[in-house]
Amino acid sequence: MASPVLRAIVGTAPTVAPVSTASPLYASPAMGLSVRYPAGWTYVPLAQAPVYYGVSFYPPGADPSEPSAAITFNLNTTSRYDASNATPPLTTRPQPFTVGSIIGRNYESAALPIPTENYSIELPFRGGTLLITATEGPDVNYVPQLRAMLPTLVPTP
Amino acid sequence: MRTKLLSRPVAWCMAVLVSATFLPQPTASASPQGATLAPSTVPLIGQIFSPAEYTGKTMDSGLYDCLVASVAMDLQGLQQEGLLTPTMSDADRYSAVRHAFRSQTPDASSGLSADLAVALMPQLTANELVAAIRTDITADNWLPVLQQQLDAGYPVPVNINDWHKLAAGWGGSHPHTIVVTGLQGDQVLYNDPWNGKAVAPPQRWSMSDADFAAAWGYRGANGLMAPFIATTINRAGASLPPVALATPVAAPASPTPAATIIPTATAFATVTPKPVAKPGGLWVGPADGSTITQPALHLAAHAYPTNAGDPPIDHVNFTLWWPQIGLKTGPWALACTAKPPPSGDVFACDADIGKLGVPAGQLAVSFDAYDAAGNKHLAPNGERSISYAPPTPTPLPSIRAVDWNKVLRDDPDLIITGPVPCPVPVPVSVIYRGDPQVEGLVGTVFYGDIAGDGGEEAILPLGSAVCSPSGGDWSLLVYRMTPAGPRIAASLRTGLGLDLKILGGRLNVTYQIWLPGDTNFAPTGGTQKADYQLKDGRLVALSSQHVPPSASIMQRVPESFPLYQYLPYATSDFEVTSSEQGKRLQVKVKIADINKVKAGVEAWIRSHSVDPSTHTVDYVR
Repeated sequence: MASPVLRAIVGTAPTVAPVSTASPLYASPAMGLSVRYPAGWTYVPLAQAPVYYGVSFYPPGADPSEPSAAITFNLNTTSRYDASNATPPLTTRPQPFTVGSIIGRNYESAALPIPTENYSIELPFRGGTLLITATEGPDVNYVPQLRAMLPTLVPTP
Repeated sequence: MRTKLLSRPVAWCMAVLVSATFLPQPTASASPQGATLAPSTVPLIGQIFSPAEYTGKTMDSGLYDCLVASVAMDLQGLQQEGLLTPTMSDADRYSAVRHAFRSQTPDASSGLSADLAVALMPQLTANELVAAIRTDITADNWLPVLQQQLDAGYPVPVNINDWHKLAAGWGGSHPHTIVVTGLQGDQVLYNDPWNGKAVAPPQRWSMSDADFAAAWGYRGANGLMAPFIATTINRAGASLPPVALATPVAAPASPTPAATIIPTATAFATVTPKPVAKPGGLWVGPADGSTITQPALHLAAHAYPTNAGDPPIDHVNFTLWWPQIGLKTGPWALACTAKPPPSGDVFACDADIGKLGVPAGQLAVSFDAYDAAGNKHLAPNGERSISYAPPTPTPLPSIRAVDWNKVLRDDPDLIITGPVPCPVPVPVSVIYRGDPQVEGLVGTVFYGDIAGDGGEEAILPLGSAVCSPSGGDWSLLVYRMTPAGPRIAASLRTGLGLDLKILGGRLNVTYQIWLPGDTNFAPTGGTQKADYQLKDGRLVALSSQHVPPSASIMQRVPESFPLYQYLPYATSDFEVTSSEQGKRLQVKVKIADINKVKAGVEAWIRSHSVDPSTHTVDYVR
């Protein structure tokens, strides 16, 4: 696809809430990972499918029943990760991205989606793909908050 | 112009073309004007749908699909007017538009771009309609632009940068898309797809021109978002004349569009089709209509260049579909990829459909052939239908129904140390052969799923020193039901004063710590709390917390335990856990360099004015 008419807008990043070993722990045997999230944030498990598990983390005051900005972990157990696979249309060229010892890639929205645009990380995991996303715009940017959470991610391949 | 607008007749887009169906007119209770909304032939389609659908990457419930629902409403309005060949019901249209958008942006936690609407419109409407993003609308011309579109019969999807500014005053401040359906007096009429929680079904709304201009012209809280963005959908080939700038209307002034806009209305270049090589393919197996009873599925097909000189076949992807992964027209699961064989043209591979999560029932298999030049032929020989009928496992009996007195006495992993002459629920005392320190009287058995697999485990507290169904325990056994009966799945040594609960699928363990010199009923070591989950045959601590004793108790901590108040202590290299044996410490080593750990531990001890030689340290990995 050609360049978008409406380009993505990086929103305003709120102050990053600290994430440490003392932060609340989310652990999912089904997804095979644990990750710590900022105190005061909430998480909502997403609807499951036989090959899919997911969870979204929301900041204080956010309403998960609305199209709110969030940080989301999705595990698709059948969509095999392949760095040469095309990324979705209207996203940026993928860049290598490493979480712990897992090497994957990341890309961002290049066009302006409504109501939210995402920063995405894809990692090979459990024979499928672990997709980690953070709302990056157009209103608010939670990518710095995601970067604060990622060092606490403990995958169990 | 303002006078003209006020004198215009009702100008909602359908009224001039078809006999308007005058629908019941709900009152928009949240509207600032309290307006009664106008009828329209643009149907109402709510963006939230249930159950959520699998996009091939994530699950979509419509939460971020305002653009999809708006486009679907727009197309159905045009269909009712005769500007689009009637082909679909409202529900089918929404489904078709949604699948088209989500096939391109399968991450359902992302919104959707108007650029996609432009790209997909020919496909969605069999080339009858085209979409364009309008970035030329301003506070000065927005009303005549809308009027021109509506007079010509075209509803207009528009971006609203903060939905709180709409008539409904939705909570939060999310960007949103709605469909403008008419202009009536000084009111703008629109359909709002949001039906998340405040209203169901979605409603028609109205706002005064001034309020609507304020909402549409708002640039977002960060001031970065372009105002007055619309996605017009028109007949292909039809061109509406440019709108002359009107006399400014009573709307807030708007700054120029944000710098992030590329001021062009053409989103995607036209691609001239060129002949491409299309690989050929022919099924080998499985046979159509066959039944498999095991998860191993062997797949094979001939794949070959169709014409002499076409590129060789690079690989064949075998794909699977079953109802639970969504519509058949959506993405299929990749079963396996076959590389070129040493000779011949039969590409074959084996899939484990158990690992793919395929349930028993009907499934469809297909294959796609790819050549070395990147050309592909999807399903060159169609799909085949097969049945998956794995043997039905016999349901296990409930672990709650077992006779524990008998189970424990018959369990070869236990040593029975004698009957207990008191009225406790399970009157035996045992020693676990796997860990002889897990022993004692059996307390009250309780049940819950601590493995997260839907089956229940039984938790047996051990160690009561007296004939009491609770209290005084210091270890536990976990039993699981198996086809051979209840079997020990894990054990755990804890401490005295054990308190056990199952909370949220986790085994919550709380016990008190006795220090040297403590008397019965007066522990001074504080409390240890931990949450465990059963995984791979062992209890895995998901969290652990040491709650120090009160200050009055601390004053009684004997001098024989000088580091007590600093425990536990952890670094990235090691973890010193609390000890109940005074000057004997246990250190969990996290790195390979043991000398570095020892140096670190000794430095830590010295930092509290304690001589390391006074302590014995056990290093464990």
